Amino acid sequence: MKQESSIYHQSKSAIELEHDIVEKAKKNVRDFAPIYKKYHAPILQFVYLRLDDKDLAIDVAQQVFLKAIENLQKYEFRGLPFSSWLYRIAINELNQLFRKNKKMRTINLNESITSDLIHEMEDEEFALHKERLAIILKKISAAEFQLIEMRFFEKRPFVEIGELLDITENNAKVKTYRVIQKLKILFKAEAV
Amino acid sequence: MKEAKLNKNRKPLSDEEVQKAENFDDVLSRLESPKENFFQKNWPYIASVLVLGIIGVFMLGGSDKKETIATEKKQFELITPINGLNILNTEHKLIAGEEGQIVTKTGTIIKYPKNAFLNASGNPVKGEIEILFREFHDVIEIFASGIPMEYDSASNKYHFESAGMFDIKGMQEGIPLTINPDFPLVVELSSKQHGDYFNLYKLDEKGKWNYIEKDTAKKVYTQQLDSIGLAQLPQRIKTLEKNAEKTLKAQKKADKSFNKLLRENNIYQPSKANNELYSIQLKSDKNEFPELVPFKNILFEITEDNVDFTPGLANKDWDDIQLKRKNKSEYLLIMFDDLKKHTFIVRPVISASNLEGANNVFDNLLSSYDDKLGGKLLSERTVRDSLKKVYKAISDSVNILNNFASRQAYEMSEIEKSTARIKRIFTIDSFGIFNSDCPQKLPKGAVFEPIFVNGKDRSDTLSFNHIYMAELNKNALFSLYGYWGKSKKQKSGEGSGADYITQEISFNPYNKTVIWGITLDNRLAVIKPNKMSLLKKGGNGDVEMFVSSNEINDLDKLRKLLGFA
Repeated sequence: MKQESSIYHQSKSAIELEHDIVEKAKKNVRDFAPIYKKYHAPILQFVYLRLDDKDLAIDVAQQVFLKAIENLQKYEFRGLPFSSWLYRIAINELNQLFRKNKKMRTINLNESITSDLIHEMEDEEFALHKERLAIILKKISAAEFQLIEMRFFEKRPFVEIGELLDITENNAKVKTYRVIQKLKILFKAEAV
Repeated sequence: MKEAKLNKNRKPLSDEEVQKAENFDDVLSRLESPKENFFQKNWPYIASVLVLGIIGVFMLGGSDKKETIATEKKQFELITPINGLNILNTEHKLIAGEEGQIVTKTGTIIKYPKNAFLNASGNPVKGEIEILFREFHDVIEIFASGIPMEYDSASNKYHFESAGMFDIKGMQEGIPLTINPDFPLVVELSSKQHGDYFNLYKLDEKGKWNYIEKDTAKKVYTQQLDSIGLAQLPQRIKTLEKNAEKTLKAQKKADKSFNKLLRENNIYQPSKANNELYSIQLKSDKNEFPELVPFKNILFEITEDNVDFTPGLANKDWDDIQLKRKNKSEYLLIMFDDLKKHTFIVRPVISASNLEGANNVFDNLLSSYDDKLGGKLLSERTVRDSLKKVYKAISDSVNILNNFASRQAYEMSEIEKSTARIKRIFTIDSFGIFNSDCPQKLPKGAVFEPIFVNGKDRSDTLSFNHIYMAELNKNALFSLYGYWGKSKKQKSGEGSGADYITQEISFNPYNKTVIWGITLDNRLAVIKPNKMSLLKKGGNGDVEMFVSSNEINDLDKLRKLLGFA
């Protein structure tokens, strides 16, 4: 069978099937179970990537699904995977938490992310000083880091980043590029 | 991100950990038993409140209505942005217990069934009650009312595009009533907004909008606006015209009968000379034409039948002129010269200036003749004159109604063109503030970080906690919260413009946008679309605002000031 054209990581038919489940769940919340099953793990990992506390991450993830069910009647299908709506709820929930306590925000850096990001900065010299990346990532704003996190930590396509942050795909590209330019400047400044 | 914690090479949650955390029933339990959790968490507090409540009821005897009412949900307290400017309630008095409807000035209809209103004890109210109603149709009315227009959907913020809102309350002798859920009210709200993408929302006591349902707003065209019965007017006019026609026929018949009596008795009734016809003054023979004797200044008018008559003939010197009777009402004028005899049909007439005197003579004559005719003459004339009066009255009514109908039809067509063509139907089982709306995201396209300054005095930097934005082609009020204004340094007299605290404002450069706010020192400041278009390339720096020096106490004034009129 020929694969239908898809956005993100799902085929059009999979997105429509998901929509049918959501419509059923609007009448009976118990029918929401397959959606929960499908997205619980990615949402939990998404939340945990941004937090340090495992139990808190589990609680926030549950809260994301609770909010989704509570507001299911207001959900309007726009041809996108249901996950984009869940991620947006998760972003809002996390932002609420960070507004109360900025220390809850966590940068979880690993070797692979560092390499990808250094590679993107296109400067061989930076590769020699990878340790600086951890320092300079703390110097950019939360909004700027969010772009880097989604693009390089989570490997999301720009179209999805745009959807999650409610900006256009092009805007997501431009903004991410600007942050990389800023990181380059900060990298060089750190060397001085 | 300075305060963020940095973890290096932290592992993501393992599959086992994720699986352990997966618990859909936990989500459902959070959804299904919030009250239980609340009670469990707060039972000592609730118990003490209950004890105090019970003591209170005993002390007050439990019969005071006002105490019972205190348990009713309070409406969210609206704060109007401009002191003294608000949309006022209209009071409608009605008899509770009976069904009926209220029609507002905008054409909105509030239909209430029997027993629609309950008192605090939950019993149907009888007697006179008051419905307080106000409606909001455009950005200016919404802004002035202070009604929040933000909508939170699963933590996502939206701004409402409104198709109309209303606020409804019921009172009896100052005591609030509720709506009987078994007999809800139907509000047919006049709306200026077209489109079927609006939903129904209600503002709760915390100032949050709650989605009620979709598709309760339906299109209804303006024939329902016809509370004055304009639609029935053409039929009423037609009926009157038929009556006028019948009356005229009867009047003509009576006139004919009266004239016949006059002719039979050889009585001349003065008629007014026609200015367009030629008249000749002649002395007539008293014996031959006795009917004309009582009247002075009789003229003989050449009738329309004399197609060969020219005024030149009248000025000619004639050898002889004779007057003969043609029939009971017409006479023949025969003029001779050497060669020819000219005959014209004439009728006796009275010039306009002599007509009143001639009519008096006629009235006197009529009375004397009437005695001889046994009252028949005057009675015929009374019938004829009455019918004349009736005909005139009906004709006048027809004219008035025709004028009214065409004026109303014109006004209605103007209203239809410019205002309400659609009604949005709400079925409501509680009082409060309702909204037919569609959530919108903040406009995007251009971004700027302003230092707001007074256009008349750039050293006057303006400070706001709340900025309003609207697009002239959309009925949406966007509220931007935050702080744009002087920093502590500036306030203490130090610091420069660079110390101004600002944040990004985004707008759609392709739409006509207005931005305004009430400064912290209570002045209305605005950037109109022509100035906004200068900001479409974005950027930072001074942005001039027009600061109104006048007190704004009138909606129209505000509309004009913000560029909506």
